[in-house]
Amino acid sequence: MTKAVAEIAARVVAILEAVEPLQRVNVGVIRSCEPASLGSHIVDVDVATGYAELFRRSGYRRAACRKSAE
Amino acid sequence: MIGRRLERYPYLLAYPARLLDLARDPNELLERGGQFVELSAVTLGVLALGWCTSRGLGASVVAEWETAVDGKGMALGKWTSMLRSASWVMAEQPTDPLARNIRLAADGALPRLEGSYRPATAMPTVGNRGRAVT
Repeated sequence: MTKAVAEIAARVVAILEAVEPLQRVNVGVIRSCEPASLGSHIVDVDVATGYAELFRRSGYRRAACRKSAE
Repeated sequence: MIGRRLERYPYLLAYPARLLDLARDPNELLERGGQFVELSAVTLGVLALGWCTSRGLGASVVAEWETAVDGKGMALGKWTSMLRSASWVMAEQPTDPLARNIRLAADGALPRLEGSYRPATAMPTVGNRGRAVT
């Protein structure tokens, strides 16, 4: 059992190390996206980064969510 | 055990890693460790699929996933197989930063997900209270 736990622990640490590039990927769910002014939208996003509960963030964003809003 | 800044990782990886970090019982450690490995494959797979569909590339990768879902479902081996295919497609888009990051993560994680990985250094030891320490 001890060996199995040590192996899975090593595997998890190795995976976390391997997926470090995902720290540069902002994962979230766009809840709404409305045109605000020329070339920009106001988006309501559930941010899905970190281990705490998901939290919602609103803000302006330039024409980046057209596809998501369709 | 984790020793990493989990708040920077996507939630789908950070949350199970945090649960694993909090586990004390060896059985719990094994169960949560297995869940983390599977969720890592699923998270990478979903990100890769999302990239493929948003860019209109990798139709064969998406088809591979759809065929598996319509059949027996997606087991760990199917996710890793799909990730390997998606990695080839993403490698053809070197100027796409999202593709680059997903591919780097997938390529690094695949040997560990497939179980062929063996750490070069000594395994972490398991301290008292059943908690692994590195």
